[in-house]
Amino acid sequence: MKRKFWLLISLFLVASMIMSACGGLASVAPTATPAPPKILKARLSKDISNLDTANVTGKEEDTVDRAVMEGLFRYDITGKLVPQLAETYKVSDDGLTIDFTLRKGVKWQKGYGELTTDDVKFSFERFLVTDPKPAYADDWASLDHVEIVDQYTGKLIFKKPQATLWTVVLPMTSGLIVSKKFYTEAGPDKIKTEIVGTGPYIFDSWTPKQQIVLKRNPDYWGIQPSFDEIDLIPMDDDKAAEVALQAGELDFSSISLTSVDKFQADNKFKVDLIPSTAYSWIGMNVESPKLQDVNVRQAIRYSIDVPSILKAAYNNKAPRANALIPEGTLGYWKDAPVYDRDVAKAKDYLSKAGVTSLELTMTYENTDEYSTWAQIVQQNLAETGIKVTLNPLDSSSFWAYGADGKDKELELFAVGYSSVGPEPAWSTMWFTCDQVDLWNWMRWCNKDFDALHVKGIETIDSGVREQIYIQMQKLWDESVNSIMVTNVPQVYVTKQGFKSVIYPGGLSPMLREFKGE
Amino acid sequence: MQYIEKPVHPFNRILDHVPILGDVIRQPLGAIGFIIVLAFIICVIFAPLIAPYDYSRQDIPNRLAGPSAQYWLGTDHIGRDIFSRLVYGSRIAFGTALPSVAIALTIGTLLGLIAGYLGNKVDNIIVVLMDSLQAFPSIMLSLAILALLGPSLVNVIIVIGLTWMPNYARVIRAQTLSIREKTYIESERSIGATDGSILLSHILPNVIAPALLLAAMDLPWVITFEAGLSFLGMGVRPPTPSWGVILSDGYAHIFESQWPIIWSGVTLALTTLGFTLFGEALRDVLDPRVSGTRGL
Repeated sequence: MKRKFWLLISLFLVASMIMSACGGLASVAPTATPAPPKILKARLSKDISNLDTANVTGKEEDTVDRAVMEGLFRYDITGKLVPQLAETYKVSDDGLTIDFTLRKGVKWQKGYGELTTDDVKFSFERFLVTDPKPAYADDWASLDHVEIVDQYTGKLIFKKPQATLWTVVLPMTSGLIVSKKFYTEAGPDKIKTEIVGTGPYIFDSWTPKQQIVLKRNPDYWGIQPSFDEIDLIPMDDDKAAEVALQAGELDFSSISLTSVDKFQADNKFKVDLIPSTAYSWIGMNVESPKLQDVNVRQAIRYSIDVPSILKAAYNNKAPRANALIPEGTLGYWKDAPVYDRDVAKAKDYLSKAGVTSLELTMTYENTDEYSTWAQIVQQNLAETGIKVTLNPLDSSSFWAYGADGKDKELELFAVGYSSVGPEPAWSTMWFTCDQVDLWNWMRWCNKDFDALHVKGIETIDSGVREQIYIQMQKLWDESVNSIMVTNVPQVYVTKQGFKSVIYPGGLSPMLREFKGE
Repeated sequence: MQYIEKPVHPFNRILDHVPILGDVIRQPLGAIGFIIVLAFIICVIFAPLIAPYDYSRQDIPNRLAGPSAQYWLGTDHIGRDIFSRLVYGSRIAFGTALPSVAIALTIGTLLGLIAGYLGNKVDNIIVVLMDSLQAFPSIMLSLAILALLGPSLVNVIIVIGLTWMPNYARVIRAQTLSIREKTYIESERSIGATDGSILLSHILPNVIAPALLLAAMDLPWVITFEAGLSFLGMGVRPPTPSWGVILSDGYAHIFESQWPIIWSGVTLALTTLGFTLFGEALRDVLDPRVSGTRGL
């Protein structure tokens, strides 16, 4: 008993000494420059579901992939295309062959050996597989094969020119090089949630719905990254993320446009409002018996008050979109017609269609943004005499319309697609005839539009390309299949002491270039 | 010896003519509860007369405005008058709570009577069924059922009714078990009364009082439960102004304006307070163990 007592006293004394020592250090600390943070805590808008570069589900997977993996080329922090794993490269005059030499001595993470041209061949040719066809097969549709010259030298051989190659394929996710050994050993399921790369961060762990941990790659061939660890925390809800930022639980996050003013007024944060290539619109299923008549669709177009939607949903911080391709992207249609609300005209169109009573269902993802849209549309159309029933759906039910022709059931809908890079073909590709039953929810099929889409991809001359895409948008506009609403800018908030970089297109953070200050 | 009769206040004379309710109102807290509940009932009945605007009328240039002469409690994110939406929202709150509790009370009472009276296997089956339903947290069970049925006012009513029903079945069963062996029930049986008539004429009137009390006490919880489901997007469809929807919309714009959250929160809190005070006073009046004076 006595012994225990003295033991406790000794422990108490030792603890007191340690605490005094720490206290002494703490009193010195304010005069010293604080060390840069070693851990970055950043938000992902949702959890990952498929990290496979040929089948990534969205920008979250893209963010993770590009922190861990690398391609022959990449975008640098100024948005310029620069070589990455390609030490040298040469493009043939006809643009159909790219000779490249890999950097020597680049090691795969987790002991998967050295990067060779065999990995490059495997990475790109797997997009040509037809069973099952990868989701991003079109990115490499013009590739014929990859020729291996030796361990570090090879050639990309193309069947035809492909304009998108240098904008959204080679420097983006589809252009990332994967480890052949890892992919072969891991199998098709494991590669969805585990990756191995040559990049500055290693994919350490994934706890579903909780966090993804990236660790510094000590063997990285390039400049060592700023952080020892990046914790990516999936948070669906903007408001929850905003509260987490203020509570100091996040160092970086995207936020909603409606909260921009609040964070801009707080000097603990830096706010970046970045124009994006995402595009949002109100679609009309042109095959629906209620919407087959173009006059009915015109009536809807003239009923909807887009500026009110922009005011209510985005506090006027999002620009109005009048056509499919956003400003800043080749093919932007500057003179696209602007359809202002005109209820009298809308009623005229409705009577021209011989419609006296019309009831429609509007389907949308149940977020604050689209709920606001839908309620304004409902009110607007009511004034024209069209009754709208709202059908808000959770995320998975909503996006399930993109499979098995389920989109046949849609009438009116509000939706937004994101285009990860500033490439017009990425905006038009979802609205061709072969996308009906998949992502062309307006079910609008126009053979001229399809032909122009193919021509746009195969045309290298940017002036000609621009005209092609403007012509496509004219066809789109004439069909009255939708009401374009906005290209929602992305807002990122970075805590003081951190420096963030965003990829061109504004949709993904370039984690590898984040720094602690 | 001469007795001087103490003068009776005219209000008390009126209360004397209103059995039970009069006793509830005589209690100060009961009176406060009654006034709050009455105010909400008036809103429910006279919503179109009380609300200055239609609940879905939008005034987008004045979105998220604070309280003013034009909009007494301010506006929401699409410029709708919060006061009008709260007034109309009382219809949703009560329109959900009353039928839900009625469903729970009716089915629960029926099952409780059958289980308590018949006993044996029937009792075991019903008890296991009720235990199974109660094993799930009510919010999880409701969300699961709504995910299957789809969100709508009718489905919310059904779901809340089913979720709350086991409480009533348990109370009625326990009461029935204690009454079924009483001498007067035996006498009824011996003179050839059917089970149905015994249950309806003799047992039900003697066991229903605690269940009615429970119903009164459950109303505020059901109102907040509906608001919770609407907050989670599983309640009524927009633009129907459920208090939970107003709270949820307000939450999305909390950094721009706090008024929608404040007013919807105050309304929910007041309703809960009103019904709780009223229910507790009612219990004091009706439960002989508490009041020692009267029962049904």
